[in-house]
Amino acid sequence: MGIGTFGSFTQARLAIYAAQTGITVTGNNISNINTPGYTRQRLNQVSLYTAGADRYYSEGDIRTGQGALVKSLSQIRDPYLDIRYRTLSAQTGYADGRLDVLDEIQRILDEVGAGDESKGEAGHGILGLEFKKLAAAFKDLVDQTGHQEYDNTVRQIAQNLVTKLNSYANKLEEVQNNTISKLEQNVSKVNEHLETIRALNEEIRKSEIHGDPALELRDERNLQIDELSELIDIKVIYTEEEIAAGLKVEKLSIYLDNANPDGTVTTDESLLVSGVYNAQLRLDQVPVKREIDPNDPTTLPFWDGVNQKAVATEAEATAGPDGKPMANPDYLPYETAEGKPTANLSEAKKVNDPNYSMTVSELRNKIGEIYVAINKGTVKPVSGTDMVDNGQGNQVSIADLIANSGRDSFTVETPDKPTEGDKSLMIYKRTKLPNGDYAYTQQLVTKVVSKKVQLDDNDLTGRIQAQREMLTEKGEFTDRNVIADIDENAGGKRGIPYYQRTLDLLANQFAKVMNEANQGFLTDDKGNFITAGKNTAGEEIGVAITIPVNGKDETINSDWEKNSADVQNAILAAVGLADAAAMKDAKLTGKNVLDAYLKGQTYDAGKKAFVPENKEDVLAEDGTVLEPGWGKNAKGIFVGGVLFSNNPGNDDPSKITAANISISNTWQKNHLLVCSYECPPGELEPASGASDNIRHFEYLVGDQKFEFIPTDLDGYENASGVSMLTGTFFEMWNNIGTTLGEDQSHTDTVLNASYKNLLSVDTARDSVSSVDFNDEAMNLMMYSKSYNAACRLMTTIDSVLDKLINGTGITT
Amino acid sequence: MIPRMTTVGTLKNYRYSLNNSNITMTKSMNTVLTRRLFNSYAEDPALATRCFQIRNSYWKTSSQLNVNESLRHKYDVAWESMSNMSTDLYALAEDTAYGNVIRSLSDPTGPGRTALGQSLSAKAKDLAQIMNGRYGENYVFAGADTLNAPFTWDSYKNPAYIDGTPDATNPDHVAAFPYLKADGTPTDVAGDAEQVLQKNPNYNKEFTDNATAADVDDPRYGEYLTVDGKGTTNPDIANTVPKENEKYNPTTSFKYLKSDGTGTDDENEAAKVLHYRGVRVDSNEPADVEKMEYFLKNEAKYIDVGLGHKEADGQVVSSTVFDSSLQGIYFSGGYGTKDGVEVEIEKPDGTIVRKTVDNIPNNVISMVSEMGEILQRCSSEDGRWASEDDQFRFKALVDQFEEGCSSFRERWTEMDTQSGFLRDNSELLTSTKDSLQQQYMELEDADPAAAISDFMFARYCYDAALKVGNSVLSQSLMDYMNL
Repeated sequence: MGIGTFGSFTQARLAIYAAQTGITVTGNNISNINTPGYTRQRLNQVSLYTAGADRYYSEGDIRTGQGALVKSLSQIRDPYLDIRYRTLSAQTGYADGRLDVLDEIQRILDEVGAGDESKGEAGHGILGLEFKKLAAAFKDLVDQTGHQEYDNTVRQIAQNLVTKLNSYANKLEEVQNNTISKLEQNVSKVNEHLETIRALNEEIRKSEIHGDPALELRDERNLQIDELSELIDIKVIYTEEEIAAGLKVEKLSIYLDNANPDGTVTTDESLLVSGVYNAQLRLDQVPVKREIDPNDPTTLPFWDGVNQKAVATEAEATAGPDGKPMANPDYLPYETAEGKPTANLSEAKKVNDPNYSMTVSELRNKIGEIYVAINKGTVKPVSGTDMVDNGQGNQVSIADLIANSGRDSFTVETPDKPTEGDKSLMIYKRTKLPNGDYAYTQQLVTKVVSKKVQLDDNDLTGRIQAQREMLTEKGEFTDRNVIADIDENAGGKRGIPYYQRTLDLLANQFAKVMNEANQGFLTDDKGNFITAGKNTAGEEIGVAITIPVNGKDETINSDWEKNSADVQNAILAAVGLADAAAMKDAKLTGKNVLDAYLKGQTYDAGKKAFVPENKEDVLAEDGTVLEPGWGKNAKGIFVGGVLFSNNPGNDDPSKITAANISISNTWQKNHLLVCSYECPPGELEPASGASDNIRHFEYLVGDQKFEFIPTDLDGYENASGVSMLTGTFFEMWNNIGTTLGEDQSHTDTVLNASYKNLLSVDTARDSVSSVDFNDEAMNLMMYSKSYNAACRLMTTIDSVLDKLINGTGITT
Repeated sequence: MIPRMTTVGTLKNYRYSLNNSNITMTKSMNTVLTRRLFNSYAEDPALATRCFQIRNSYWKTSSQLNVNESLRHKYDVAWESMSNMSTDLYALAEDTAYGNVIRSLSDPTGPGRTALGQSLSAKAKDLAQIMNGRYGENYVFAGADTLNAPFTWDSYKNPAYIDGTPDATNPDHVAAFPYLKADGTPTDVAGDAEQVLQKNPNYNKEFTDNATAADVDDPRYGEYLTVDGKGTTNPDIANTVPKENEKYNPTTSFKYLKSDGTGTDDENEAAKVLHYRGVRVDSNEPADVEKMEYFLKNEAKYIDVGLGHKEADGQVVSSTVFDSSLQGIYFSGGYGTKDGVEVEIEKPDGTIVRKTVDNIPNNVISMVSEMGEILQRCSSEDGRWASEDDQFRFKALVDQFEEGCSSFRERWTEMDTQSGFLRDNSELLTSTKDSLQQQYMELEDADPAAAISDFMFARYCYDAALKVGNSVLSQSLMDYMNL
């Protein structure tokens, strides 16, 4: 259609309007140059062309456009760059999360360059130096054996050493607690993001229905998604959703992005946001269980029906009528927040799952309705004669099923349900063909109700997973079942627990070795164990302990191998072991057996230990002996005692960790170090300056190489049985630093590379989406010129029309 | 596609680069301030580990050097003591023990001998005192018993003493019974003992076989004695006596022995004899010998002085440590006594008499002490020996004393060798310590010139980056628009 006489005015008006709008859009872009997440906007305009027949058709007429029409505003984004950015963001978040915790650990355990400069110890470290100082103190004590000031020096340095171990363990625990707080905060952040994205989806949906592209809301949503992607690795999918006949709006869905390397796991693709529904991430909570106390029957789960008492293990329990171990009816396994025992799970105090496992909740909308996903299968052609279930258990042909319904389709609910609560519908349809026959189809439609999803150990990545791993990963201390069943790489992942356990192993091994070296029985110069005897002059002297073998009294050497086979067998029999094979089966050494023999102990196969275990009698409150100790029955002369215990108030050497290692109560009060076990011939005590055991201590602390095996630590019996290191205590300490340094260095490299990539992709995104002054200046100039030109057009048309109207046909 | 560099993108890149520039400058600054090339394991894990190992060796070497120095001083004290001993023992000076001995042999005057005897006894006490010298709070020559004085003059405990009533059935109590029964068990009742023919103690078989009637009254005649004490070859007329216990010792009921060998329960009456760590130096009793053997051969006080301290099967490898125990008994000549020392003396009539002397002490202090006792027993009037045995014994002691002094010199030399080792070891440890310090300093310490120039360069880069930042957004098309 040709333009009307006054249509040209409209053309000019539209041009002015388009140029003005362009200037406004440019102004908005310039204004938002510093707005985070802002995507530059572009004015979309089209040439206006109206088609149709003219009222007065003229053959000479030429069809022209009728001006410019402002069609819409759009954002300029590259979805591929968004995907790359978000993947890299998760990787960067993961590396940054790890490095953040490793840096915290480094501040505690890394002693490079540390040391007291005023004492000339700069660079020698702190805890590592204490091991060296202790070895040096022992060396001084070798030279000055028997002088209490040197003995005190050893104890003081040992005290410094354990204090530092305690301090480092406590600081590591602080790091752990801080990391737990950070993880909880980040889980909250994820949930806030998911909630915000859902709310934005709702707003955008509303806007779209009203024809508003809601660009600023999309910017905000993109920003939220970017921030979310740093915490967890996500996949964002945009689809269209039909909300009314012919009206489609955009639907944004967010899934976890298939982070689990195990291809059989699908929970790593869980849905987090679907349009106006969103899920929440939850840290699993577990009830606090009470520790088993043999003296408190309510802590024992099983029942021994024969003896009518509660027992701790299945093995001790009586089998019930169902063949299963009988349960203790009085069992109160949990603890309430007030510390009271309870059997009610709901009353129990809940704490974070030790593995910090997480669950994705069901998706809900703003008012709490649960999301139901409708999955439509493909439409398959079928034969009308095919027999199918009619929903009431009868087999009917598809043709009859539809014909009987009086419609062209029939829906049957099938018994197949993906999971409980879901629905599967089979929709049969017919279409009339030109020849009058019908073509039949079937389509499976499932309605899946959103449910909680328990995430697998490796379903997440990003900062949250980094923090989870730093809180849970134990490296070489990982249970072998975990490596076999859950994460084959777990043995190489080292988090805070790894460093805690390594420090524990160091403290435990140190205490064990030192305690063992400081307890034993006196020997004569030939290594034979001695006891007190008398010579003909009535003087008390040291005489060798003997054991009758084949009618002859034989001495017992402290070196098991130096005893004859007959002597060995006699000793084994005395402690209740059948033979050397039984000793080997019980994982006992000759030293253990000799020690037990001299203590008058016997082997208890049930306890897998020599009994009685205590040196002193265990007394009841009234003083009666509940359990006699071995002290009174010892055959030899026992010297020494426990140097390191699990509490400064006792002498208990069991379950020593870096956090609890202490100078034992006895050593605090007495000079307990055994200088030597060897007595000169006929003597009952070593020479006053004999120092062989002190030298041995020095060797143990400074030179002896030990195998540090994770299974040696209490509670880690199923960890790797391979030695982490064969080295001295100092080398083990140094190794902790080296491992940490390697971990940090590697993570730092990964973080730098990820961050550089992220920056590169972000720059690429910016090159597409962000505002540039030059561009906007060009736009300003362009729209300004357009505006001027449109105004000039208006003036020209006005002038032309003026001529036409006012100047045409006027004659003089 | 040519990337579109936007204002926002440029700013982000600039911010990242500026931050990197700042980090580099801060690291350079830390290097200058700490004078270290690295300050954490993470910066260079392998190098940090190596440096700590070297520092560990440095610390260990320092500790070895400290104890080596302590031992060196101990040996200096020991050497000094040996020097004093040598002065007292054999330097040819007027006041030495050896000189006194020589004079006692050549000067027969009575008062001279007894005075010399007193002097020698005092000298023996001095020698023991020297061997009881201390370094710090430790007795140098006490072996591993460093808190107790090694040499003491204690009461002579009777080694044969039996506590309580002797038990005839106890094999250890045999010496308490004078007789033996027919079954070989001991008894103190003569009537219960086996009756045996009385043997002639002076019996000479050759003399008896060739005897004439005139010879029957000779004490050498006859294997047996009759009731009236005469010799006879006829067992039938021989007298019978209870069988004597050859192991019988009449002193078993006494705790101590006097100088003359008789027993006493009064400690004050007991002879004061030299003891080493509670063991009588001149004793040959098996229990005492066992202890002395232990002191000399098995007792050790091992110290790590940088010889590669090692243990095998829980026992120290002796070649990797230094035995710092000095046994005074070893350096003073040993313990126990020597039998069969042959000596000869010239009688006033010029005849030479030879004799074999037993129980001569091996220890020089004991020798000096006994020589002093013998000389003090000489007549104060004319200097005559108290007995011929004393004269022989004194001669045997003089002969052995010379040997003892020779042995002392050898052992002193041996100690000097050990002392020399400690001196050499001290130098070696000092040099090792310095070398280790040099090594870790080379690895850890920053070269000041390099560190400062690196810092200056980093600062220059940072300043330049700041300057660049000032002009990143200075101009754009906006600034040239003139609509």
